[in-house]
Amino acid sequence: MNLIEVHNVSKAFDDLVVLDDVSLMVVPGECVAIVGPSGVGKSTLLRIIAGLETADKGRIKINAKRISMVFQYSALLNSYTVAENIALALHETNLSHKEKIEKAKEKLKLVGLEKYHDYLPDQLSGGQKKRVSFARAIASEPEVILYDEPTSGLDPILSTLIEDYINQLASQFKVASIVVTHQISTIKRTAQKVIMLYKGKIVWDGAPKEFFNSDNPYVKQFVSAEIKGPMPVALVE
Amino acid sequence: MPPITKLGTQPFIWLIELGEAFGNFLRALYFIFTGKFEKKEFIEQASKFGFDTLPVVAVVSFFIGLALTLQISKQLMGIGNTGSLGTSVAVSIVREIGPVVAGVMIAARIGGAMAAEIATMSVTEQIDALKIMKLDPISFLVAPRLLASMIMTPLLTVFAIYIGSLGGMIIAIVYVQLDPYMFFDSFRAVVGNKDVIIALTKAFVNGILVAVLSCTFGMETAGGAAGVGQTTTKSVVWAMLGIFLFNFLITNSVYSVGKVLDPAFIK
Repeated sequence: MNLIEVHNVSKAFDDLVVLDDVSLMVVPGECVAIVGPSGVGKSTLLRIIAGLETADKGRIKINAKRISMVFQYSALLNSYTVAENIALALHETNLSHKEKIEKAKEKLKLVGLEKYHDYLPDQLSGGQKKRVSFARAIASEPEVILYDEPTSGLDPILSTLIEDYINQLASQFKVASIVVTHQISTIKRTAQKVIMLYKGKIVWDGAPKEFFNSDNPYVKQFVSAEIKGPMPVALVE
Repeated sequence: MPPITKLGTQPFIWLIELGEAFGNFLRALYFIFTGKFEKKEFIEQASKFGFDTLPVVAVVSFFIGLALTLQISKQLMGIGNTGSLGTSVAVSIVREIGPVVAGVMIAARIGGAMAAEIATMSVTEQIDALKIMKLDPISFLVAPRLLASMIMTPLLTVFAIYIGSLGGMIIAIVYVQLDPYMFFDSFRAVVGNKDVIIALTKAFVNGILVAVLSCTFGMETAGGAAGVGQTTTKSVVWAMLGIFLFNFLITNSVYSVGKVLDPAFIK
């Protein structure tokens, strides 16, 4: 059974068409990478799946009970400690505040930040914030996690760590992931399916191995990072 | 949307925004009455009101009390009626100056900070994160701020009235050489429970306006740092406009209704 079904979704902001007849399916434990140049509607698609935006046309079917999301800039609440931020994700449980904090510390241990439980987000580095945001996302034991550029702004080692977390969740707990990314290493190391968007349309989809060997001009330009190609780049002299 | 249609809807955007603010107010009230709001946020916001606003309200009220009493005493000295200085100062400070000054200070100090904080949360996706965790931003952010504002604004208004009156008394003693007992006797003679109730009603409404407008505009913010700046200015301006408008409306209705119910009321 598909955990997420997106059928013919379209979305426009005023006159700008951001998504045009996009469809995708995600099964349990699968990691789908949504790739493409900046501003082609990748994050908008993720936000529509998350229920943060509404589609103008099309249908979304979510068969998962719990979905969580890792945001590009972590989106931790600044006035709450690291453990309290994670405990917020447990508000629907019957746990006491103390139990929620204990559970939050367990999740922090998974990302190697248990010592930082009483820190405020402003006291953490970008990479640490991202790991806390990851711990928050897994706290409610979701079936699907949506990642909006999870490795952007991180050094290659931390990127590998985050990619390992994504893989670990998929293999151990059958958590499905949709990852919006530009990073080639993230596509290579995490995805079982790649979808490339350009001007709101899916221009290519398939397995990662085929993606990197594809003759599709859009894919070729994206993978080789060429300036010349079917996706023109506005250069500033 | 065709450009001409878009142009036509622009003047009415404020109406839509006010409608949203009213909707948020009703939903926040529901969460307050059912107890479904973030208590930690409420305590934090209430203490922010006290610590951040008390010194500003004290200083501004004190100087307004000084200036106002000085102006009134000049006029009364001209007609040789300094004995009614306390009465004139009392009516001005309790009924009008106290609630308005406290409201304006709260709008500038707390409303601006509140709008900037929520706008920043909005542009950094913290509000989206709350929604993903199925935490309603109205119950989590708006309700605690509204409750804190509804409780603290009347308290700060009472404080502003006291400090303003103190400023008035200093001028009465130093400049007019009036006996302090005489000043406060005439003060007490004109200020009754009804005046305190009117002042507190105004303060309560001011508290609602500041919290609801700041939170609503904050949650609608887009466009990064520039958007946060615009929201802060907008919320302060709208809250101040609201405070002056409702101050007039309440005063006007009190006089209109009071005249019908009790002719002695408007004395």
